[in-house]
Amino acid sequence: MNIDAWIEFAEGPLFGITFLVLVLGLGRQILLQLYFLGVKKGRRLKRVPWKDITRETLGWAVPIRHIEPGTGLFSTSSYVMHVGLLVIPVFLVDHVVLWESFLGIGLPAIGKGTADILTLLTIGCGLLLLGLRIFRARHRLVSRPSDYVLLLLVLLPFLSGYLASHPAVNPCPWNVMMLTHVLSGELLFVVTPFTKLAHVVLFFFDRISAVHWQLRPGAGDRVAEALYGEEVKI
Amino acid sequence: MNTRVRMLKDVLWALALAGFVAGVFRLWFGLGATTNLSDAVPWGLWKILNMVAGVAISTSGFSMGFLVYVLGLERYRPLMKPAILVAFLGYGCSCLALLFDIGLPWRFWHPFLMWNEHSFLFEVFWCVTLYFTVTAIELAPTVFEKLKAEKATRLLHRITFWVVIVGISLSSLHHSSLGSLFLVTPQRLHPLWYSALLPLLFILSAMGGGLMFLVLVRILHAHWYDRKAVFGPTQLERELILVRSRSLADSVNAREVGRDMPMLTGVARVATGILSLYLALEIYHLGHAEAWSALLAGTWESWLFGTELLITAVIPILLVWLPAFRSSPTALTVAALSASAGLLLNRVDVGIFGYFRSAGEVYFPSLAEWALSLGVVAAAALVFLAFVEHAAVFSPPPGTNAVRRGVDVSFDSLSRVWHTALSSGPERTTLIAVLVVPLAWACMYPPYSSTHPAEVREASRMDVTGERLRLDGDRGGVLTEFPHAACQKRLGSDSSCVSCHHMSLPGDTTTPCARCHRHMTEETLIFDHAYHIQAVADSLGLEGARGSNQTCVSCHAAESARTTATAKACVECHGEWTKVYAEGSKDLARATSYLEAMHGTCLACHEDEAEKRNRPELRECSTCHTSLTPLGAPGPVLARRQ
Amino acid sequence: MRAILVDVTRCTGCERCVDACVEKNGTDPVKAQIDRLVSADGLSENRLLSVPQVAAGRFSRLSCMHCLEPSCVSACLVGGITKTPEGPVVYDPEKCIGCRYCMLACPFHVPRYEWGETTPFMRKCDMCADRQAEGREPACVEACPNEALRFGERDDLLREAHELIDRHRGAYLPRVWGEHELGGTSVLYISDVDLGAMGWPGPRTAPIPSLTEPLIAKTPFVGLSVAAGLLGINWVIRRRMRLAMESAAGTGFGESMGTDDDGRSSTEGNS
Repeated sequence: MNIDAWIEFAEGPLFGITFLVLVLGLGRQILLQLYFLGVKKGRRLKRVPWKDITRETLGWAVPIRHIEPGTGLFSTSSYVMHVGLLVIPVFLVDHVVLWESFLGIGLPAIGKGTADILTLLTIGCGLLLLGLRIFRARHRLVSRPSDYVLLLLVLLPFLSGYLASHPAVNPCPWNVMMLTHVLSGELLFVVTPFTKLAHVVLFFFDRISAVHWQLRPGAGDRVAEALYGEEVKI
Repeated sequence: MNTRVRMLKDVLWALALAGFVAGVFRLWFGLGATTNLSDAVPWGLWKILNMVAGVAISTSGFSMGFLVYVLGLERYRPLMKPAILVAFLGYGCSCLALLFDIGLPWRFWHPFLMWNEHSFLFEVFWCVTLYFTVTAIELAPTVFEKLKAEKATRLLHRITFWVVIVGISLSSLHHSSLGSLFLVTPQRLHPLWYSALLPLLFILSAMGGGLMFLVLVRILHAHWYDRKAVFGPTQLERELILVRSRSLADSVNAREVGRDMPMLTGVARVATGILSLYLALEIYHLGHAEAWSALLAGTWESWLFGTELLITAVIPILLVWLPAFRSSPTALTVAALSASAGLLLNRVDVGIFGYFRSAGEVYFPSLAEWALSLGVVAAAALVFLAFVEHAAVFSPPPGTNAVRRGVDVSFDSLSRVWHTALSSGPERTTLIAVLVVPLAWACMYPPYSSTHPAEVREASRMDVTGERLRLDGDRGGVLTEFPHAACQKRLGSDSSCVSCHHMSLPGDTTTPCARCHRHMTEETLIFDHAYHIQAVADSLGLEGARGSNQTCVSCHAAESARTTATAKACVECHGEWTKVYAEGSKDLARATSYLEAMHGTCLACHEDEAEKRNRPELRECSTCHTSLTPLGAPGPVLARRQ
Repeated sequence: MRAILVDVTRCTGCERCVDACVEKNGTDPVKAQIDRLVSADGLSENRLLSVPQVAAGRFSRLSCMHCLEPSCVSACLVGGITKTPEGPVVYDPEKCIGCRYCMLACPFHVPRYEWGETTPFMRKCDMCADRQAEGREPACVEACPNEALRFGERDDLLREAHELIDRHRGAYLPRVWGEHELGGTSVLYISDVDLGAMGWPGPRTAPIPSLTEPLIAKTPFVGLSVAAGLLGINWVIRRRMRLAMESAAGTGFGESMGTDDDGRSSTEGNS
């Protein structure tokens, strides 16, 4: 099979299946969140607290309130990267065309130039975050190996997509880059529901349960240990 | 909940989900796209395994009813509830699978209103639906007990006897009628299985095999939930009890086999009694139909038939009645397993394998057929387990000592994803769903698995000079002997090339058709993007394809998505070359299907010539498709059927 | 009762009848052409009529035989297939549920199914019942250039067939296929080669419904007698249990055995 056939396969069946994994996986997370929320409240959740979710989410969507001294750079670059992560995959012209041909939905598209700048900003901020996680102790301490891997994985489709659409800077043949772009995007689809990337939907629930997703694994047990001086499961 | 039960449930759940996906595809794409059924083998796995065999193996409901209610053998009463549950679920499975099997599922109610009382299938339909209702009524007390609806329970208990009588009558009818279904195929069913005794053979084997299946169900339940009940205490436990024994009661507890063994052995004896009748009748059938020679013929049918008799009847009878195995739970397990498998094999033989010889075709179910067939059964098994765990089906009820773990609260991002490390039901089941559904989708989605011949290959020469060409794009046998030289001459020699070779590759004048029309039935995108990037870059004096953005904007509009829609029309650069189709502009990037291209090219001319020269045969398919003419190559040749 | 007489010795296998059939039934001619090669006997849902080779140089019209006592009619559980008094066996798609029992029941493998459709129906020759109603011949008969197909009253055609066989001794085998086989069919064949390849059984075979219909007629009686038998057995057993209980009551046991687990009086079975 040559590369073009692989691209065809990746854009056809493989896209369908991985997208299905993404949709089902994230749907599962939402259902589970509602279920556990209900359990925690001691009853099945009768009513989803949409109002609280909206208020808290919007509150966090404006970052100024939450910047603490010393985390400014991290917060800002993270914020910019997230904007890119949300806007580019949906509103890029080429993707809008795909949406239209697959689902028949016409979306507004952002201009080519804006998209380029935003993509570069996203990649730049991502790399900056990576650097901070590596070199700054306060970020390194709360980082797991998966945090580094996932960050790189998230940047891969952006990088390959940018290179594929800019032959001037592309060191590889177009179809190789395109295949990388599609496959890395699909890998992201598959990985998202099962890793911390699931915060794309869990974000809304985290605001409710006020449990932040950035603490170290087993942190709860450590808190308990510190509080009660012994191993208490909470 | 113990790990073994949880794993069992996981597997069942995964199967049920795969079945669900298969069912969706069946309704979405139709029978032909999802099954391997054909005109030669119109009844497949769903009808035979789920319906004919599934109903047969769920007979225990009525045979236990006979033993307990009619004969008053109270010692078998503990098996009554599981028997009814098996019957209810077995019939439910059959009905569900059948809904997917019939071509027009939304018309399932037709036989209620439109009667043909000469049809055995009509009788089976009515008896099965009525008996399904009967089992539902029989099962209802178990549900109502759980719901503590005492009034309803009392009412139902009062009518139980009469319901059981109705149920047994219905069952005795439709179990034999399932055999009679195949009486209409004397010329098609292999003589080893075709017999005027089919109704009798079917009801006997169903009763015997069904009871053995009930025994198997009890043993499997014990295996997963309550091992001691059948297999007795383990060696170690027994010794411990004996060491500590102070009274007679204790040493009774130390018996080698479980407390249910005598009951199960009793049922197995009744079952094997019926199965020996069945065996005798089969032997009579072999002698009567003079099928002994067919049995000894050594064909694969004869081996199948032999195996079937061996495992349905001979092995279970020996294992249950030989003194050496009489009280062994293991022997009973093997006997029950063997008889149940034999019963299933018999139904599949009669319904599927027995027809291969006359059909001249072998049928193997598709993945979707297997998935739906097993998925429905797995779903029924899950319901069975739910009943076992939540309603007192087996007495005494298994201790619900499963410890429900509370929600683990742990402050970590991954704990938000992997909440309770998969120990809780909702998380586990949904995770399996997320993994299984896309996998099943990928494996069974009909468009992905379609094996349609698509790639078109170029014409091959039929003589040295290439005056005659053999056109057969997909090499499918419908071939055309194309008199290339003759047609060329008629159209006006060399100057006529372009009337067929309307658009050759640059530097070529007669590019073969298949070079662009690459797909038999669909359009192909023939535009070579990579080549164009390189060529444009070269013409602009840029270094390769990555000179600058100018390469792209020389064809695509600058500030827009780079798609076909924003690209220049081919004519703008290739005016001369594409002159024949110049008005078609961008559609030059797409070539029509091979079928369309060939017919379009030849037919227009043929129609004209037929008109002009008054030779109507020039219009006929067989003029070109010589393989279709009866004289050149004959059509179907009938091999002797049977 | 009308019928078609096929003279296999006159058939050249030109398939004009098939073309006429395809046109009359409105099936896809291209698919029909393809099915001619794909299907083992040339029949398909697009090609309700086929002219396969039955022996060297001998062709025969193969389609629905329109049996006098059709297996498919007796098999169809919704009564969607009927044998009309005029001869044709016709199918009513409005009733069909798609069980495909007719396909299994047909001794000639004739009914075909629209496997490719999402609302599939069975397809088979209906002997152009609509044309017959207008007083015209079936399309295939009309199209035959060699008079290999003849249409008329079944009795007349049988007489004609026997006359032909008698007149041209040696030119035909002394058998009219369809006269008695499976109770007789409305498509009759005379031939100089054996037609067993088409699925014809022995000369005097019984119609298939005669294998099942006597049995199914007994169904209600079987059901009722089973029920009566059960009640009888139960009565005997209850009585014995009661007697045993009464004798036990004399010795002071059995007071609590008046009702069984179902709360039903044990004497109820006697009533």
